[in-house]
Parts: sequence; structure tokens; C-alpha cells
Amino acid sequence: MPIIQSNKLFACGSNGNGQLGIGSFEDTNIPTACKFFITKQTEQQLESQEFQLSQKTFNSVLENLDTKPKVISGGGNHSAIITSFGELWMSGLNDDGQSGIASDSLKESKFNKVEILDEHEVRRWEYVTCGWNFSLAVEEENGYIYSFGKGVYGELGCGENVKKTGGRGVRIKGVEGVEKVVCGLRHVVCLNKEGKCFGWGSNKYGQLTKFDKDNNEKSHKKKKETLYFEPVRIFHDLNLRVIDVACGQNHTVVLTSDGELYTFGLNKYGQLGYDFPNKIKFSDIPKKIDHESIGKVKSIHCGWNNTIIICDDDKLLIWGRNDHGQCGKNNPENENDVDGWMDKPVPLYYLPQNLILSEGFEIEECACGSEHTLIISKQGECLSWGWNEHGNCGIGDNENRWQPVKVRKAGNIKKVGGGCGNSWIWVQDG
Amino acid sequence: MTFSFYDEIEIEDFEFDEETKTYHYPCPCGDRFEITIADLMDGEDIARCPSCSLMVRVIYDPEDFQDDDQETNVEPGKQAITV
Repeated sequence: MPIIQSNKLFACGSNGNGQLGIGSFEDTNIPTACKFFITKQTEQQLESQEFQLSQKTFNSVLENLDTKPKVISGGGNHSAIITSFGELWMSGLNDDGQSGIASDSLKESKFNKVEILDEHEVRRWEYVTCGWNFSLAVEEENGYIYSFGKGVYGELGCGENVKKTGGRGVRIKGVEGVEKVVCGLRHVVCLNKEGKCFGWGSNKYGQLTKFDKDNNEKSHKKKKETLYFEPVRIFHDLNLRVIDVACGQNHTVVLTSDGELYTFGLNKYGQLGYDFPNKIKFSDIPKKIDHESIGKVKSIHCGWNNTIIICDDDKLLIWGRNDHGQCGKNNPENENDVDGWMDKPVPLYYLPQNLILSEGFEIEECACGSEHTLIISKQGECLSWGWNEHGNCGIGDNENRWQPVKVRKAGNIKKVGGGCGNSWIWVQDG
Repeated sequence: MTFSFYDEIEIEDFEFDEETKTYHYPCPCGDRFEITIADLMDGEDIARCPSCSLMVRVIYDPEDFQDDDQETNVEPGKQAITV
């Protein structure tokens, strides 16, 4: 009884450290049921109480895990879920405490509930993002962020002396009322309720925007001109209200309340979306993306080296790296060109491209992995494309996909998550 | 599959593992591209991921990795962060 197998949440792809949470350490290219480890404490409660009461508790645990999760996030070698009840569960590598397991467990192939924190008990979690070997989770009450794991480039945001937290988590000082936190490989950006952005970690490519060198506030600790170990306010010059943020490996995308889009950071693969990489290698100045095809932007997403926006009219625009099909490729306009079309890859797009989906596909949600993407429709259909070497597209093989294909999972898919070569899929009627 | 590099990465962006004398950098599959100091001293510049087909070219100055004498006390890439 201590292990519950989900009949709603499934995962596929890279799994060397159990990050899929499916009870094994093997990759799989078919979405496979996730497993949850019911902690000893809960188990004891179940055993010690009257049968009826324990059955009730057990049912509530089941109900919690059976309801659509708030957030699913995949990191380098671990993953996290926030349930509809606001519980935080993590699976995978924990050698630096990145999975929030406060024991000496080095890795787990099942989801474990995060319960032990140094500062105070967190009742409900609001948001979580998994980085390379760290995690950042936002609690609901005050919007505080807790860091878990290791970050030598300032990713933990807890000052220069804290490069490792262990599994107990450490609260980041100086930010509150946070609604969302996202991260690239070595930088982090968070957004608070007032629409203000803060960032920390590496700023090597300007992914945290340009900082005024004369600004000597003590909190703006700088090292080697590029690393920030504590939160600093970013993207504030234009005085715009921000409603969403997304991070690629080394770039950042910001969406304002007017539905306008700004990008900054590395442009090695055209991921900034306005100029050729040879011309602009990186930029620390946020630039508004003024492309004719962009309508009002609804949501923004980033793979490691590409950017995706969903517009109000369900149009999906995508740009950046495309050497493994990350940005996809539409059919040729001229039908005579079909032969050999897919064998002529386009290595990158530096301007927004409209990736054409199947007729009538109304986009509900999008999730990017490192080099692949998943989208779901309002009707619960799930498509994936991009790099697929680990079977992360969930289609039963490991071939890269240059066009969206249907994920091999029956049922009404309502939530997706992406990580480093892996994917999570939540099905309403499993 | 065509032979090509996933990326070109400067040695200063790699992390260095003192115990195994290996430089490593994140691979999109979750594992890490790896190259040892000995490889660099031999003039090798390809870091491979043990878990997938991807590899990266390491950008470095060979002079930083020259074996002056028997001494193996090589200064590992001036700015690399030791872990």
C-alpha cells in the first residue's frame, strides 16, 4: 500500500535517474504510469487509525493525486508536480537535495512528497520550476520562493555563501508575492503579483538584462561581471506590467499586460526572434518583437534554444534552433516539392514562423522540454515534435519529428510538462 | 545520422570535477558532456555524452593544457568553477 500507481499521470523519455517517476531507471518511449510513494508518516496514520478513518485519509490522498495537477516541471535529472491540493511531489536525482528529500536518498524513481523545510511548514505550494540540479518552489500564502539543490552560478538566489541547500530547502530573501518562477540553465527569473520581475544567476549573455554599473546597492552583488547571487529587479526601465515570463537555456522572454513581447539574452540560434545570429550574438537590452504575424499574445514558452508564442487566434508562432526539428517544418507550398522536403532541414529560424497544426486545433496548453515541445487542444488531443532520441515525444519510437505527431496515449489529455529529454502527460479519463 | 556537433562550448563554461579530473557540461538529455584533462592535453576537443549521440566541441587554448614536465599539477582552465 505505500506505493500508489497513478491512472492519470504518465511519463516518457530520459530516465537515467528515475526522473520520470515511473518506478524504474529505464527510458521509455511510450507514456507510462507514474508512481507515488506514500510517506511513512501518512502510512503510519493510515495504520494507526480506525479503519473507516484511515480509508477516508487514503481516499483523500488518492483524490488529491487523481485531480489535475497545478504544475508539472522537469529539470536536468529530477521532476516536480504540484497537486490540485497544493502538495509538492518530486522524483529523480537527489544527490544535492534538488528533489527536496531531506534524507540521504541519492535518487528516487517514484514521486515523494516534499515535507521538511528549515524555516517553517509550508501548507500549500503555488508554483515550481526544476533547473539543472536545483528546484525553486513558490509557497501560496506569502509567495515566498524556496530553493532546493545546488547552484554554483547563483541560481539558488540565497547569497554567495549558499551554493547548496540540501533537501530541506532555503527561502530566498528579498522577494515575496511571487506568482511564477522560471529558469534557464544558469539564470532564474520570477514574477510577482504586481507585475514586477526579479532575476538572479548568470548574466553572461544579458539574459537578466543590462545592469547600471553605477548602481551600487548592496543587494546587487556582482561577481566576474556576470553572476548575481541575490534577486535583482530586472526589466523595470520601461515601466510595463509583466504578466508572464519564460526562460530558454540562455535567453528570457517577457509578456506584458498589453500582450506585447520582449526578448533578451543569447541569440546563437535566432531565439530572440528579430535578427540573424551572425548579426546579433546576444543582447542585454530587451527588444519588443514587432513582427507582422504576431497578434495579441496569449502565452509564451521556451525550449533550451527556441521560443514559442500562442496568439489569441490559436496561432502558434515559433523560432530559434531547428536542427532536430525543435521548431518544426510546414509542408511545402507547392505540392511538387514534397519529395525530399523533410530531408532538407532548416537549421534555425530567426524570425517568427507560423507552425501549421491540424485543422481546427484549438490550443489549450503548451509545454517545452529541452529540445522538444508538447501541445494539447481544448478537445484533449496531444501533439509533440522535435528531438526524440530518448523517446520523449511519447510516440513509440525514438526518431526526431519535424512535424507535430499525435502522442500515443488514449484519453482526454488535460495537462503536459516537459524536461530534459522527457515529458509528462495527465489524462482526465485514464 | 549526419555527423555534427550539438554545440561549441568554451572551457570556462564547463564545470570541473576535481576527483575524476573531468570537465563536464549539461546535455539536453539530462546527462553531461564529458572530457578529461588528459584528453585536452592530447589535443582532443570533443566532449561526449555517455547517454546519447550528442557531442560538443570544446573551445580552449591548448597552451593552458600543455604538459610542461612530469608534473601533473595542471592549472585547470583558468576560470572553470571547481565542484
